[in-house]
Amino acid sequence: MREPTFLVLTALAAQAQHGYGVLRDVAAISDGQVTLRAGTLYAALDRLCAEGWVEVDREEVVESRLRRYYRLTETGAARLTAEVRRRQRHTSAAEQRLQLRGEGGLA
Amino acid sequence: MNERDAGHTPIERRYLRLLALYPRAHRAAHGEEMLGVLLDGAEGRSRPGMAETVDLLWGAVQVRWQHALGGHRGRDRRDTLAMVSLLAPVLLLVGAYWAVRGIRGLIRAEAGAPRLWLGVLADVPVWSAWLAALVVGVFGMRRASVALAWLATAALIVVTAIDPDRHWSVEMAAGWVLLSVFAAVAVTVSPGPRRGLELLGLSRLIILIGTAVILGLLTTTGLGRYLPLVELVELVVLVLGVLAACRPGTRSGRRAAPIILTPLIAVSVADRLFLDFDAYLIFAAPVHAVLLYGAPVVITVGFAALLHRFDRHPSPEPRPGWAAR
Repeated sequence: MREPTFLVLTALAAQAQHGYGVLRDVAAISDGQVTLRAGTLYAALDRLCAEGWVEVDREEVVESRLRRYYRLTETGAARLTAEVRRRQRHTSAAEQRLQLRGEGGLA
Repeated sequence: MNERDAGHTPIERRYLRLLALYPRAHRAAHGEEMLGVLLDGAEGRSRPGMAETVDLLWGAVQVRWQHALGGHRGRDRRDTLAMVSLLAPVLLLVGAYWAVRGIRGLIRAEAGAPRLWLGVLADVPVWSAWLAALVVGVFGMRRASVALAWLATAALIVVTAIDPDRHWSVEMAAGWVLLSVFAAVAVTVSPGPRRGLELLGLSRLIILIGTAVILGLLTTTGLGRYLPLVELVELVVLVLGVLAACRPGTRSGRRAAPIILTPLIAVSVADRLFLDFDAYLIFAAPVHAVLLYGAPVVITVGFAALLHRFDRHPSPEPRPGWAAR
């Protein structure tokens, strides 16, 4: 799973959000390290909706601008959970190796 | 400023021009919403930033690609190309008959000149690579299959370009080269031969292998020499074999068959027409080559454009008036 996809799914994990909300949330989740833009976001949302991981929650018109809220589906939540576990395994392995390195290596 | 730009601020107009690059269906579903998000982030600017422009351009490319190969219509297209990725390489292996025949001839003649062997063996890497691409593709090794398919195609182009006298004149090579390119594209953009086999089943694959064997026997053995109208017989065997193998009862199958047949049939027809016209007008050899390579490509692209037009309808339901902007 590519980083923008992971961050978009993470942004939608707790609650439904509109496009601009997702962009701001991704910046917050990544501590400002990742700046997602509209082109990347909507290419990702288009794909995630087609795959059934994300769906439209509701629409609102705010200051004459359309806001469409997206939410994570059960399939999307399951896929994100699997990705989180995969990343956790890799992170744990990396931590263990670094600890061994600090203790004088594997040999 | 045209009518559709009226009533928009300069930055809105610039965003709208960039959003016009997205597919109509995507604009209908997300255009207004995307414009809102872009304006929310514009923060008093009068034009999109460079990074934002590049991001929107790249997004348009990604969405167009996803729409070409995504959704339920995209699944049909992927399945169509998966069938092509399985069946086209089988037909391409008919070309190996010439190499086998040449090797057998040299062995019988006990000819040991390295130059003769080199000439006969020059196209062996092509067929070997296609056979390997097919086998590894069926076993699910997609990346290896893609690499071998393009290696085989490149080798075929090199062999026909550097040694056209011994390895097929343009009227013989064009159909095979184009089929090889189509097959390599299909292997690359589809889930590959494994998916093709899942869709078609072993029996359909065996039908096409049988067709390839019959075509090989007709073109490279004495069997063809004694048949009246052998070219017509070959054409009938080819068309019936491919149609039977492609599961014509399915939409993907009906689309896969013309993709496989067009290069081989269109080249023959174009060549025949060329010969008829050439009796009156002397065409140069490059014109001949352009016609033989161009005709099947034009027909296939036209067929794809027709299908795309036939398939296209916006989804989800557009908000009134937005898609036309």
